This record gives sequence, C-alpha cells and structure tokens, in this order.
Amino acid sequence: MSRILIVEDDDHIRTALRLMFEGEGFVVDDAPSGEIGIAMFNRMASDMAIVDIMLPGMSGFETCLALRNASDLPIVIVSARDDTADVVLGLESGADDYVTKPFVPEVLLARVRAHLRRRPEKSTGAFQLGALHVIPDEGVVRHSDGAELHLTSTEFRLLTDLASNNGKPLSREDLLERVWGYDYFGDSRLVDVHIRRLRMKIEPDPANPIFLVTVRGTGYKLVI
Amino acid sequence: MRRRSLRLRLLVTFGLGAFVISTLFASLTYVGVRRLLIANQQQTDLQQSYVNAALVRSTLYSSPTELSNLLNSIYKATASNVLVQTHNQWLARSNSASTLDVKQATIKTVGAGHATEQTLNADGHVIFVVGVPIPSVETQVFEVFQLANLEQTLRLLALVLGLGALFTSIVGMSGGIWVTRRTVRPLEEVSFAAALIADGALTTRLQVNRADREVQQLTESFNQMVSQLVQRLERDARFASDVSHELRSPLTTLATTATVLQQHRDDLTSAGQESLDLLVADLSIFQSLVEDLLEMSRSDAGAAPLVLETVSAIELVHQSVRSASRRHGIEEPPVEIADGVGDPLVLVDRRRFERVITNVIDNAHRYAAGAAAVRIDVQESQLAVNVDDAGSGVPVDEREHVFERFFRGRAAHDRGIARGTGLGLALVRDHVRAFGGTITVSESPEGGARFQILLPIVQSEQP
Amino acid sequence: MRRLRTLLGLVLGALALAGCTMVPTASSPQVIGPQHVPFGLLGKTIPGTNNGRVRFISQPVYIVDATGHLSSSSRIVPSPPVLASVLRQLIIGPTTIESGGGYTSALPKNLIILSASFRGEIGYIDLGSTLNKLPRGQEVLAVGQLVLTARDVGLTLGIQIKGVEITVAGVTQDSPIPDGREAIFVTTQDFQRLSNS
Repeated sequence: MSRILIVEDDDHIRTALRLMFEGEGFVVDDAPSGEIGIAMFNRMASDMAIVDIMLPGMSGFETCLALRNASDLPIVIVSARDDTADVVLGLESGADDYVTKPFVPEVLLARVRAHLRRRPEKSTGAFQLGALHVIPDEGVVRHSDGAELHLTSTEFRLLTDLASNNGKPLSREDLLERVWGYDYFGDSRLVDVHIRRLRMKIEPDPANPIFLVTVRGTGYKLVI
Repeated sequence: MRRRSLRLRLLVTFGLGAFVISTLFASLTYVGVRRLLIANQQQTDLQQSYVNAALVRSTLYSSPTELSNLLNSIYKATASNVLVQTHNQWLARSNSASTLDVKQATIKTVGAGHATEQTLNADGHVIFVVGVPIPSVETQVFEVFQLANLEQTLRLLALVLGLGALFTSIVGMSGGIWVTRRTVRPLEEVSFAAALIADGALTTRLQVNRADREVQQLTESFNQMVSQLVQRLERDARFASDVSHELRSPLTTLATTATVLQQHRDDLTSAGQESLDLLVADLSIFQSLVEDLLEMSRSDAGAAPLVLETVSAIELVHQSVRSASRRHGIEEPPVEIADGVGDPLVLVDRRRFERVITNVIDNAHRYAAGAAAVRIDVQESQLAVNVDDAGSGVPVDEREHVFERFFRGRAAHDRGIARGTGLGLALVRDHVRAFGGTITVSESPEGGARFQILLPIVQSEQP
Repeated sequence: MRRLRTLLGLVLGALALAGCTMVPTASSPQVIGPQHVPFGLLGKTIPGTNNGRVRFISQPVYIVDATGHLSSSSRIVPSPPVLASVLRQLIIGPTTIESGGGYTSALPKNLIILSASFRGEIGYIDLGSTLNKLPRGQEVLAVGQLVLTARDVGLTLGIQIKGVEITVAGVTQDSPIPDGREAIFVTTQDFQRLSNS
C-alpha cells in the first residue's frame, strides 16, 4: 500500500486529489504548505510526493530540496506555468518529474504509478567511469578515494540504462520509456535536465563531457 | 488611374509655378517696356523729322544750294539720312543715304500729300522711315532713322529678363525641392514606421527632432497612438492569458473530481452515470480549449520565447508522430521518406513542432478517420512534411480559412459531436510561421486532404 | 501633358522672339494724320511769306574737274530756272564735297553777273568785270562754264541755244574759243569738246 504525500495549498485541488488517490487505493497524506508537508513526511515516510510549486511561505522548490535531501523518494512537481525555467528549476531541486495545471488526472495517476513501479531495476554488471566505480546491484557510485556519490534513483537508472546499451546511443524517447516508464506523457526536457545533472556529478569537466556524450540527431550514449 | 505623387506635385507646382510666373512677368515687362521705348523713339524721330522738314523748307526758300550741306550736317548730328525729292526726282540727299530705303509705297503716299511713317526691315537692318510732303516747295522730305540701337537695347532687355526668369525658375525649383523634402520626408517616415509596426515591430517609434511644428505634432500624436495601441494589444493579450491562467486551478479541481466520480461510478444511478459521461466528455473539451487558449495567448503576447534547436527533421517527425498517436490512442500512421531526402536538419522548437504534428494528426483523426500516411520530401531546399488522409478532403474555398481561429467548415457541421477546440490548426499555423515555414492544405494522393508543412532546411547531411 | 505643351509653347515663343527683330515692322507705311504735322509743313504756302508755292529743280551747272575738263554738277534752284540766278550760283563755286573731289571753278568768285537772258537762240550774259585778265587756259574754261551752263538752262526752259555773247558792262567782248580763236559769239559746240559729260 503506497503512501503518497500531497503538498498543495489550493484546498479544492488538494481535496480532489486526495479523494482520487484514495479511490485508487493509495494512502494519502495531504499538507497545505511546505513546512507541514516536510513534517508529515518525517513522521510518515511517504513512498512518493506530489508538490505544487506555488506554495505560501516555503516555496515548492525549497520543499522539494528538503525532501530530496532527506530521501530518495520520487517527487513530482505540479506547476501552474509551463516555463522551461520553472521546470528546470524544479527538476534541479530534485524532482523527478513535473506536470502542469490543468493536468489530466488519469495522466498524473499513471505517472505516479510508473514512478512507484520503478523499483526493480535492470541488472548490469559493475563498471568504471574514470575515477568512479559504478555498482548497479548495490545502487551505489563510489569514488576511487572511497567517497560515495549520491545519485537519485532516476539518475542512477539513467546511468545504468545507458551503460547497458553498450555504448550505443539511446534516443530521448527510448530513455523516457525505459527510465521513467512511459513515452507519450513525457517531455524530452526531463531527459535533458537529468543528463545535465548527471554530468555535473560524474564528469570531470561537465561542459565537455567524455562519458555522457550527446549524439546529435539521435540522443545520448555512455562511453565507458 | 495612377495615384500622383505629392512630392512630384509639390515640385512641379513650385518649379512650374516659378517658371510660369517669372516668364509671365518677364514677358509682360518686356512687352511693356518695348512698347514704351518704341513709342518714345518714334515720337522723338517724328519730331526730328518735322523739324528737319521745316529746315529743308526754309533752306530751299533762302539758299537752296545749302540743301546738301544741311542734309549732311543733319546726318552728322543725328545719324539719320534725309532725302529730298521733287516731282518724282531726287533733289538732294545726305551722302550715306540710300534711295532704296524709301519704298515706292511711301513715295506714292507722300506724293499724294500725306505724311507717313513706317518701320521696316531693310537688308537685315530695321529702319524707321518718315515721309513729309512740303507742298509749298513742291518737295517730299524723307528721313531714315536707324533703329539698330533700339534693337540692341531691346535684345539686351530680353536677355536680361530671360535670364532673370530662368534664375527665378531655378530658385523656385530649388525652393520646391527644399519644401518638398521638409514636407514629404516626414510623411514617408510615418508611412515607413506604420508599415514596420503593422509587420509587428511594435517598438517602432518616430524620431522627434527639430522639425516644423505641424510635423512635430504629427510625430507626437503618432507615437502616442502607437504606444496606446500597443498597450491595448498587450492588455488584451494579457487578458486572454490571465483569464486562461485563472481557469487552471478550477479546471484542475473539476478534472480531478470528475475522475473521483468515475471511480465511484457504480454508486450512481443510470441517469447519474449518463450525466457523468457527458460531464467528463465536455470537461475534456473544456480542458483542451483552455490549454489551446493558453498556448495561443502566450504566443500572441510574445510571452513564451521559442527554444530553437537544430534537430534531425526525420527523427523529430518520427517521435512526434509516435507521441501524437499514442496520446490519442490511435493507430500510428506510417512515415514515408522520399528518395534522396537524406537527413536534413531544421531549426525548430521541439515541443511546438511536436504540438504541430499532434494537432494535424488529431485533425485528421477527427475529420478523416485518421491520417493515412506522413510523407517527408524535399522541395527546393525546403523540407516538406505531408500529413495525408483518405477522408473527404478540404473544399477549395475553405483551404485558406481552415487555419483561422474557431473556423467551422462544412466538415465540422457534418460530423456533429466530435468537435475540436477550433484553435488546433490556428496554433499550427502560428507555430509553423514562427519557425519560418508555411502550411498549406491541398489534395492527398488518397483523395483526401494533404496538410503540407514547409520548413527551411538548415543543413543537410547525406546518408 | 497639356501643361507641358503650353510650357513648351512659351519657351519656343520666347526663343522665336529672340530670333526675329525686336521692333515690329510694318508691311506698308502708316499715314500720319495732318493734325499731327507741325510747322504748317502741309500748308500751301511758306509761313511768314507771301509767296505761293515754290518749285525747285536740280539744275546742271558746269565746273572744272581735276583733269581740267568741264564737268557737270548740279545746283538746286527754283523752277523755272532764271539764268542769272543759276550763273550766280555757279560763281559761288564748288561745294565742299565737290572741292574734296578735286573740282574747281575757273570763274573768279568776285565776278558779278549784271544780267543774263535768252533772246531767240542766243544767250546774252553781261558781266561786271572782264575775264581777259585771266590766263588764257582759265579764261577758256571760265567761258566754257558760262556757255555750257547757259545751254543747259536753256534746255531746261525748252530753248535750244546756239551760243552765247558775253559783254562786260554792256561792252561787247571777244571771248576765247578752245581752238585758239577769239570771237564775240561763242557756240556751245565750241566748248563741247572741253566737257567730259
């Protein structure tokens, strides 16, 4: 029984969402503000969170960051604007996905399910990326000096999926399907931002990537 | 009728006006002065003739032998030749006189007892011949005056006046040019600015510089008008955007609660269930409409800048077709690439392009039982993406109008329920234009409609 | 277009004006009304005199040209010519222009004509002083001048004279003839040789 945290200041939407998710068999914790949401999460340890960006007091981005710092849970941000800047900011704050209002509720449902379903991963052998040692089975990336690199599950999945393709490029579409679990609801921006975040973490020079390489006209590939 | 140019009219008016007036003035002056001069000359000459005739008479009476001397001294004094005739025989004449100057007509008339005067042309010289009969001494006196001086004076006068007229005309024309420039250039600037604004450069304003008061007024009013219009436009755009924006939250609630109701569908009566179905259907339309409105007003207000990327057209089309088909849960039409197309690259905003393909395919789905094929071709260095269907096609008279907002063609009326938002194709056209391309509708090979999107190719890589 | 044409017309007119005479000419003489003619010029008599009309003619007279021949010139004299008047005109001598042309007169300037007339076919000239004192050549020319001038006066009057008799204060004189003789009556033919007219 998955537990969902919904942080939304609009009463009506929050209530409607709660009813909907409960109708689908989820356990819902709903909070009208970021602070309450974080408090709830700490108490309930939700399996996934849906956070609205427009919140009074603590902003959605800050809430997102706080949640991400505390856990690996999938976070979907809900935005009233479709601005790329907002989206990117949200994703940079640690979200795994975003939807814009007004959304099709079924779509949100499907995405939530997809994120929760992502638990079983493709098994790949461990591999080396320069000074980093990637161990998919353990879900861990270790630096040669022993320090552990923290990746979100989405980022990890992205990395391992690319690795399992043996250096062949995968299109954004493919990546959406394989990593996020769907293709037609997604947006290539998701992929782009996650790739950028990954590069920031694993590339010695993120501006000139040597591992996560863009293949123009096709997508991305991982050079091991 | 060709519209006449103001500039030309002003120039002609000034130049021609100056010319006509100055020429008129010169002519009148000339004619007037000439008349005066000639009259004066004739008067003087006539008086002289009379005096000389009297002298001739008294000389003849007192000392006829002195006559020749008298005539010569007259010539010396006044440079006019005097000839004296008696009974048709030349009695005496000054030495340089020529009897040829005195014509038969004059001799005859004077012989008949009448004094005469005549200006005539003798071998290129103009002379004034006065004939006076002196019956008391039975002689006729003829005096021949050379008018060469007068001629010269008049010629000089004509020249001076002519030059004056010419000069005035030139000055007039220059004045015309100057006035024209000052008057017409501001007008041209205004029309140029207006054209720019009409084209969409809404920040265009007229420059305010040291100009005439009226032009200054025009400039200021124009700028003010444009600013106000732009403000109004922005307000209107913002309004549509604001309205749509405000609808987001209520819509979200509506959609979500509808879903909840669906979850509890079994708890409803049949009437309730039917109502719920209608609610959900219309809600979906409402949602699409708001989405479209939002997108449209965003692009109107220029709020959402394009994120242009150079992408592989073929890959993008494939992706978009797949997305569009799966989004609507319809069968994916085949993507056919013509021979020799290669791998052309286009400069577009990915999401909007996807939107374009989606809308066109959705349109085909709605009105023509789905798209039959998506064909990619290259036409004169432009990429052609053709979405062909096997429906009833778009009537020729509607082919321009289908891209208008909320246009309902005959097909829409036929179909009845399955209506679109009315903005789908309008959005398509807006986006395509933003990419620097065009969209047209014609006939597909299957006999239905072909929506052809033409985009400029940035670079092409051969396969 | 029409405006352009009138423009052209004006220009051409102006040019044409420049080409022709500035002063307009007339093809025939204009009559001046008699009221405009002063000094009583048109009057039948000379103002201030009792005379009626006077008529003048140009009467030939004979002077001596540069080659020493008798040459005819003219003098304006009232008509009909009076021999004595004409001779008196002759004695005045050549005009300035005639002198300039080398003409002279053999007759002394102080010569007085007491009377001169025609009777029948002969002209009688009565001088105040004698010509015998003159050198022979000059005397011949002087007489010749008198004779030929008288002849032409006679002609004007319609008289064909045969010759001239010269007296001095009524006393008959011998006059020289070009061939060397002397005679009281000298004929016009005698002196015709001397003339070059």
